[in-house]
This record gives sequence, structure tokens and C-alpha cells, in this order.
Amino acid sequence: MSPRRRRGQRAATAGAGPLHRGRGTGWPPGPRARRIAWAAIAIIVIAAGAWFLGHRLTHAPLATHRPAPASGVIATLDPASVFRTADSLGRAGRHVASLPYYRQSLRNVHADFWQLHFNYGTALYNATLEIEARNGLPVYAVRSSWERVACMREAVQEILAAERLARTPRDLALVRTTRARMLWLWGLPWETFAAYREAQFADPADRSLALQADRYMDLLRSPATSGLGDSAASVPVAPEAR
Amino acid sequence: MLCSMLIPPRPAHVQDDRCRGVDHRWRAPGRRLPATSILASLVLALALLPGCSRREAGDGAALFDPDSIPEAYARSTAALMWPGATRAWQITPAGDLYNGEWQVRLIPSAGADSAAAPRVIAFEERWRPVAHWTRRSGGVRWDFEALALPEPAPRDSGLFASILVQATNTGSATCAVHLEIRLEFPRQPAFAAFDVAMEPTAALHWGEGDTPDTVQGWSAEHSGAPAAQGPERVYDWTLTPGATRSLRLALPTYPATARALARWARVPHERRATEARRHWETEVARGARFSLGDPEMECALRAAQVTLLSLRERRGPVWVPIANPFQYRDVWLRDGARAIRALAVLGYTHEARELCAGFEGLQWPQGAFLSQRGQLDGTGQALWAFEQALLRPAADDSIGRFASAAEHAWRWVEWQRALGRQSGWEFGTLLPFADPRDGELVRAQLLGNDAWALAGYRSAARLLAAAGRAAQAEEVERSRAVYLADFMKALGRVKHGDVPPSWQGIGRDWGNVAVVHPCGVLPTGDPRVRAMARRIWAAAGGPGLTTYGSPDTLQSYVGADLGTWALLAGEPAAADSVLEAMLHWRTASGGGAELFSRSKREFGVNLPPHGTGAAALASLLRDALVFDDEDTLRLTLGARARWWSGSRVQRAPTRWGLMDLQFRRQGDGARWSWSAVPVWTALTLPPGTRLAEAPAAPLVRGVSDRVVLAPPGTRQAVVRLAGMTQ
Repeated sequence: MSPRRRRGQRAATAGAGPLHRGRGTGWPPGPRARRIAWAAIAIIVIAAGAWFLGHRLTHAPLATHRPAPASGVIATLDPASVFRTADSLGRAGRHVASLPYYRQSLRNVHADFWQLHFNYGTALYNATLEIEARNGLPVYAVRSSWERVACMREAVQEILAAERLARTPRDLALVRTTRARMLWLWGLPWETFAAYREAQFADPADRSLALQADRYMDLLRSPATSGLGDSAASVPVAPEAR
Repeated sequence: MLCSMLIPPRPAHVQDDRCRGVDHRWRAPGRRLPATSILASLVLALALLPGCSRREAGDGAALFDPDSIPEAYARSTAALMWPGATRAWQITPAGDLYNGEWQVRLIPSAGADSAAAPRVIAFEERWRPVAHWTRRSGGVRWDFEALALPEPAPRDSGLFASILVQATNTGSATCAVHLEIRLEFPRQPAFAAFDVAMEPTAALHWGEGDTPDTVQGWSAEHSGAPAAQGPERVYDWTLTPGATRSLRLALPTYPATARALARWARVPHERRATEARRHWETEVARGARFSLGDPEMECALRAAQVTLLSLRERRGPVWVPIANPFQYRDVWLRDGARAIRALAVLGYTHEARELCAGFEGLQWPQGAFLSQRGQLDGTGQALWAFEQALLRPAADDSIGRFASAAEHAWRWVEWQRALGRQSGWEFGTLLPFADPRDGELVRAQLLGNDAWALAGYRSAARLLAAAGRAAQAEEVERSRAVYLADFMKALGRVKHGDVPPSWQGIGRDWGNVAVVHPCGVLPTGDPRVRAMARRIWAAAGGPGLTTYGSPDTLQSYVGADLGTWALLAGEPAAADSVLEAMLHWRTASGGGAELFSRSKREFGVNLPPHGTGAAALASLLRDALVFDDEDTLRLTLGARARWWSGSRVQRAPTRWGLMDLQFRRQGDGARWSWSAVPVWTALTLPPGTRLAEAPAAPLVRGVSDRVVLAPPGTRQAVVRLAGMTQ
């Protein structure tokens, strides 16, 4: 008889045994008691696992580099509401809070449009600059530079996606100018200059773009004496309406 | 990393004593002793009892005087921290505890006398992170002992602090003592935890029993508190002369259930303290061992090890270095790179490499490494850190991945230089301007950014070569030669007497200080470097720590690179002054502040310990004994006279494998023995000595009569010494 069959046989006859056999009766644990014990262990393991997962998601220590993914609630909202909420949160300066809504919007979208990527990209960028008061002290809303850089890496990708989708010269110039401002604030001067020039080339009719690129070139040439300051990058970037 | 510092006025108080010989004052970590030893100890203890000065408390905890431990700063503070924990407890100068969200105020008194703040918060032997502090109210002495251990699984980012409070009536009359413990949200905190709620949403609760309530603090003893779940606890005891009463507290860094704390506190405080001691003894012992016969230096190194190992956080599967357990709980490439290097040379290869993996998350799509806005030195620093950690003591299996990241970064710098070259501007071939809001504190083209980029090129070439990509390594080397030529050309044009902070000549000394070591851009003997060192040291009143901004503000780690330069330049006395200053400016718990007022000995809200200060001290000490950044192994470059009584370094990772080193001076002879390496070894003689005669073959005289060269494969050397002529 194989062990498997023997176990099965015991299970089949379990009902004939005494009701309270097992611990405390002087009898060895019976099949039912063993099943109960196994079930209890399984419940404990599952509960511990669930608690651990819950803890991991809510307790911040093993936070991923991004804010939490969109919740089930957000996923149930109608797509227009989700995008409107993201937009309004961004306009209210709650950029970190807007991110799950933008992520859900990206999942919802059927016909992609540049404003979605632009707004999500700028929200990610703005999130890296968002300051909150905690215990009365100003602290970054995004935990550390490790997460902020992750946001910026994603932001750059989103802005490049928006550039690919933008159709009019004006829109393309706007996206590129925004990329320039992001990179300026993060301190990448050549990338900034290149983006300003690309914006200028996207919409040659807009003379202000050329002027902007020229002014930044002056800053590159004479950083210590140029009057151009970070304020010219005008943070944060506002969401673009569709 | 650095931020503006607010320094409130504090009374000045000079103190320059040291912890020499303090090791014997401390209780040794708990060990299991054989029965015969215990018996012998008991007999000996009984025999010596009348002369024994150590006082034993009723529960067996040894008491000693933390106030005997040197404290460099006007206010003493300590950190209870743990690797991977996302919060730490600060033991404040007032003797309270604060975790970035709530504080635990400990208010002891005896009769009408409230206890004064402690003089110092001391770690055992000024390094082992079991904190002690003493407060006094009238004739009652309040002894506190505190330690941190990780919160039990499954939580992995919290820590529990175990506190033992002991009140001892040292007077001659019975007295009533009163201990009030109060949980509070601070009104003017020095820092805030990243995950504190924007507005406090929950009240603070103190726990006492084994209940499921969520609490912020817990004590083993029921008090006469007004409310069972309130934030306050009050203990009133009556102590007869000589009597002691103690109370055990458990403090979580995150709210926990009283039940969890009660369960944890079932293990007595003494055993928790032993657990913490054993952990850190083991951690320190598994690194490279430096046995120098110099307790102060060895304790300082251990304190640095504790700090460096503790200042690490998890991000999912990877680890990242943080700069400080309190106000700088963030990731900076400039600080993290130093921590990685220090961990690597101290023998924590695994930890250093884990942190390198964390750095991968800071690489931007175009190839640059950038952690903070405007800090373009990060690219070179990341590559340098990879090389430091991944090539010692042998190339890591993951080298290919990091070599690719380095190549990507190198291409980004080359792209930057190509754009600049096209501009035709005066300093166009160098990296563009930066506004780091830190360090040089100026918007300009920073010389340090180029120095670090060049260091990154060297590291990239080494990583690529180690990964078997010789052709790319050579390409990087060729581009480095061109870059270096551009650098030297620019340095020739700059209107500055030595090596300026920026190509525009403005800014504070920062990245430029690293131009010889670790960046390897200018040769050690370059007169401009010597002039820079003289200028910087003159501003600080001599070799030691450097000033930052105000002449009264000292910076704890930037000057360490000048210390290593001085070692290489044959100025060991200057290097030793730097080391001495770093040793001096430490708390009684062994940590150094980043910035502080020299006259007021005040660090403001820039709380110690700073990770980069720990890294700088460890790196400078290691460089003084074993220096392997070049093609020659250099030993005992800056060994102090005291160390020559007989020192040993064990399991030190070098580019040529793990190394053991022993050196000793006996009369007019000096002897070294070390693990053979495939390169020449330069041996520096003890301070104040020179070669008495030509060294015996195969040894040859070095660049001066203070240096002897040993050919590859040599394992030991003996030379005859003569005194230096003044």
C-alpha cells in the first residue's frame, strides 16, 4: 500500500473515531485533529502572508521607487473622471497625489494624445519638487533622491512620448520647452540648451523661442555673470488641457 | 551634501582630553565563561572586593560614568540606529528621545529638584552602540542605558529601543523620587521623518500591559498614570540611602501594539544589551582588522564602521546609502560614493557592492548619474565608487553590468565635451556650469566636476578592462588623455594662484580639493596643489579640518582628501594633523558632525553622526597604512610612532587581493611583513627616521631616504634606521 493510499484510507475512516481525540486526551492526534492543525497552520501562514503584504504596501519601508499604483477604486472610475481628477490635483499643486490618476488614465486611453503624456510627465517632474510640511518642517514629498530620480527618468520618457504625439508646431515647441525647463532645474545645461533649440526649430515662427535659446546660450557661456536665474525655468509646470 | 546651518549661541567650553585607556572602564560584552573561569573569577572578585571601584546595581547591570568619555561638542547627542531601519532614535542633548515624529520626554526629579540635562551621551568605549547617560537630581543619580535592535519580523524597517532607567539614592536620607515620561509631538523639531503624517492624526499612547492597543511607548511597570492609555506615565518611588529602583522601557520607531512590545520585552534589558553588543562586535570583527595598539584610533574606526553599516536603507531588493540617520535621510552620490569606498576598503565588500547596485537607480537615460539638482560631480563619483567596490579584492561577477553603465556614463561626458568644444568658448571643452546649491555654493563651471569626471574615466577604463573589454578600455583611456590635456590647458589659463573651486575662479573649496586624491588628475608634487593646501589650511589655522564659509565654521570631511594628499606628498605630520582633528571632533558616541562652530563647539541642527565624516576618517586611516589606488602598493605612509610598537592589519582588501600587514620598530630597525603582491611596494619608515644605510637587496632606496622599495613578490623587509637631522 502506498503512503498516499494509506493517508486516504485514514481520512476516509476519520468520522468513526472519538470526537475529542488528540491533545489532552491521552490519545495520539487523530486525522481530524491533524486536519484542523494543518488548517490552522495554513490560516496562520496565509494571515501572516497577507499581513506582511499589507505591511509592505502600507508601511513604506520597502517602498518602490514610484508612488503606489492606482488603487482598485481609481480603476473603477470612468476614464474622463480619472483624467479630470488627475488634472485638478495637478493644478492644486498635489502632484504626487495626481500620479495614480495619470497612471490609470494611461491604462484607460484608447486613442493616445500628447497631453496625457505631457501632463503625466510634468506631474512626475513637479512631484520631485513638491515640498510638504511634516512636523512643521519642509520636506520633499517624494521620499529621497533615489525616488525623485526614478520620477525624472520616467518624466523624461513621458515627455519624449508627448513629443512623438504632438502634431502642431506650437504643441511640439511647448513640449520641448517644458523638457528644457525640467532639465534646467535638474542641472543638465547642455541638454537644456539642446531642448530649447529643438523647440525653436519646431516652431520657427515663434521668435520668443529663439530668444529663449539665445539667452540660455549666454548663460552657458558666462554662467557666473549671466543674469538669467532658475526662476526663468518657472516651476512647477502646469498641466496642459486637452 | 551640505545645507545651511543655523548655529544658536552656546557657551564655549574647551575640552581636549581623549578616550585613551577608557576601554578598561567598560563592561566587556557578555560572554559565556567556563565554570572554572567563573569560579576563579568569583574567588578573585571576593579577594579584591574592598578595592573594586565598579558599582554593581541590584539587577546585575554594571554602572560606570559616561561623563568620563570625551565629548567634542557643547551639546551631546547620540543615534540609536540599525541597518535597513527607516527611522532612528536620537538621544537628545536634554536626555530625551526623538524619532522624527514623536519624542519621549524623560523628566526625573527628587523632591523639588528636577534632574539637569546629561553632560554627555556616551557609547561604550565611544563606539559600541549601547548608550549611557547620567542625570542628577539632588542626591539621586539617574542612570540611563539604551540600545537599538531591529523590530521583530515580519517588519523589516523599524527598530525597537530598549531603555533601562535606574534611580539610585546616593544621599544619606530616604527620599521620594519621581519619574515622568511624556509622549509629545515636538514643537520645534530638528528634523522630521519622511513618512510622518502631514498633520498628526492619532493621539499618542503609552502602553503597559499585553494588550492589542497601538502605542508609541511601553513600560514594564504599571504607573500611577491618570489615564490607562494616555501619553504620560508617572512613577513615584521611595528610595532609602543606597537603594536603586529601575524601570524598563521599550520604544518603537513606528507605532506598535503593546502586545508586540511586551513580547519583545520579555527578554530582559540586559540580554537585549548583550544581543546588541554581540551583534556589533561580530560586525566589526568581520571587516578588516586594524590592531594598532592605539585604543582611541581603533575605537574611532569601530565607531565609523557602525555608522557606515547603519546608514543604509532598502529600496525593494537594493540598498542605498544615506548620509545621516536624522536630517539627511536621503541619498547623495557624493556622500554615498565615499561610504562605498570606505566600506570596500574596510572589508565590507558585499555591503559596498550592494550599495553600488543601489546607485544604478541614479543613472539618467542619457548616461549621467545625478542624485541632486545641479550636482554634476555625481557621474564621476558613481563610476569611482563602482571601481572601488567591484575591483577589491577581486573583480566581482557583476562587473560587466557596471562596466556597461560606466561606458554609458562616459559617452554622456564625451557628448557634453563635444558640444562644448563646438562652442569655442574659453572653457568649452570642460563640463558646463552647475549650481549645486551645496559644496562650492556658486553657479559656475566647477573644477571639481571635471576632476571627478576624469576620475570616472579612469574608473570606467579599469572596469571595462576587468570586464574583458580591452578595446573600449583603451578608447576611454585615450579620451581621458585628451580630457586631461584640456583640463591642464584650462588650469594654465585660469586667473588663480592655485587650484580654484571653479574655472571662473569663484566659489568655496570643495571638489577642487579632491584633484589629487581620489581623482588622480594632478600629480602629487604639483606646486598648485601644495599652494591650495597651504591656502586652505592657513584659513583654518593649520592642517586639520577645513573651514566652510565663515572662518569659525569647520567642515569635517572635505579636508580628508588633503590628508591623503599630504601622505602621498611626504608630509605625514600634516596628514596626522588632519587625522587628529577628525579624532578630536567626535561625540562621546563616536560620531562626527558635518559642520559646526569651532568657537562654540556647536553643530546647530546639523546633527551628528554624518556618514561621510565616518567614511573620511576610515579612509584616511586606511590610506595611512595601506594605499593601493595607483600602480604601487604603499604601506605605512602615515603610521604614527605609537603604531610602530607593533601593529597588524588583517584581511584588508586591495586591488591585489586580501592583505595582511605587520610592522614594528625595534631599536634602530624597522620590520614589515605583508602579503605578496605582483607590483612594487613602497615602505615608508617610522616618523622621524631615515635609512641608516642602503637597504639590503632586493630592497632599494625610494624617492627619499624615508622610503624603501620592495620588488613584486616580496613578503618582508627589514631596514636599519637613523634619526632625522633637523
